[in-house]
Amino acid sequence: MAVICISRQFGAGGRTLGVSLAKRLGYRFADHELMEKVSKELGISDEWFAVTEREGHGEDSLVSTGTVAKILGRIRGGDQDSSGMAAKVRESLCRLIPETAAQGQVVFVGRGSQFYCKDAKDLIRILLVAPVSWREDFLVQHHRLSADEARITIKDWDKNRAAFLKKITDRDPDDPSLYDLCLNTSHISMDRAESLICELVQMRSSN
Amino acid sequence: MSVVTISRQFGAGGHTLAETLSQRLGYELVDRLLIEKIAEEAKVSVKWVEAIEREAGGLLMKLVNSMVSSSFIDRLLGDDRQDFSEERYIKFLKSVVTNLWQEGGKVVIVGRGAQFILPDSEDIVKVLLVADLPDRIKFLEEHYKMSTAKATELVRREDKRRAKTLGLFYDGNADDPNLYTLVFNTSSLKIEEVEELVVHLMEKIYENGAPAKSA
Repeated sequence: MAVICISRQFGAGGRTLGVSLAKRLGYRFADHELMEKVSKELGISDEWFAVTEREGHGEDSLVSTGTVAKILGRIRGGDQDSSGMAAKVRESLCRLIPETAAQGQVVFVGRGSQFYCKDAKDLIRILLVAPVSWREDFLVQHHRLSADEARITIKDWDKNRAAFLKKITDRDPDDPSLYDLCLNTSHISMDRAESLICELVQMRSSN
Repeated sequence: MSVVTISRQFGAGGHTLAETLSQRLGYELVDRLLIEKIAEEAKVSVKWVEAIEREAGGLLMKLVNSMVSSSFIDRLLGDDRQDFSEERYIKFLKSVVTNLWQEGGKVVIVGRGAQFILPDSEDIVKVLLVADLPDRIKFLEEHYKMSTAKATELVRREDKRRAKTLGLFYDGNADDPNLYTLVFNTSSLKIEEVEELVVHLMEKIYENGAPAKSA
């Protein structure tokens, strides 16, 4: 009945791992459902669908929380309002993530879930890291980006992730003491990473 | 054939893990005491070899090395521990640790900057244990029967010492998870759970025979 929060350096394979882990454990992969709820609450579900459609619809789509806030900002009153929108998205996430977590058997990736879930029962907090060059290669192979696109995307996302998490915590989001287990996907295959997390979930549920 | 390196914030249970892990895997435990012992032997050997080489050349080297037993060293050195210079010690550590790996030793190495000395390779698993300060103090109280004051003092001192030692190998933050294969937080994971997970990973690594050495 665990709740698994995967935080990751972008391109370390967090989303790929999250989707596959949820499937293997028979858990829900909550991201799409979560962001749909956020967009509904804030009254932009049509626009949200348009963006996820554009960015590659589905569980594996790459829409950042920052992008959601930007869309909202544009729709709701131009660029000057975008920071206000980011706060609204965070408010929604702050409420919706624990609600979803309370049902158990769920996998989150990103969205600050490791912080918003901190009181969840049987919480397992995972961090995936990998060196920048490895993450660039991963994006080229798994998301069909060119090397240049991958480099720029990672730079952007690292910046976005830092900015987003800074609003939630003043700790370094890659400080391992914020997690139960950190895995370096440049050292350890995705299969093995998944297998280790399953092992931990099983140990926790047999106690 | 594999090396597990364990680095740890002091009091996060690194030595406890290393002991149980080496027993379970049938690996040899390499810790500070063993390394220091090797260092002392080497120190004596080097001096002897240098002296003898001047007189007799390389032929006697083998003989000298075989003579340098630990009891002999004890008698020779007594309490007069002339330290290696820092630079020489690091060089020495690097050669011992690299040798252990290249010779195909099955070893669990605690500390000693081994995570920085060894390359990233399929047959090397680099582990870091972290834990919140209060938990580390509590761990020492419970496992080593220390008073709170003493445990607190020790953790502070050892944190400083660790930072200084690791600074000799690496300029950045030694607790950056990018430097390790796995980082475990023993504030939330039991040592037994960590042990299971590392054993599980080793089994996976050996699933299809011995892993390749890379780098």
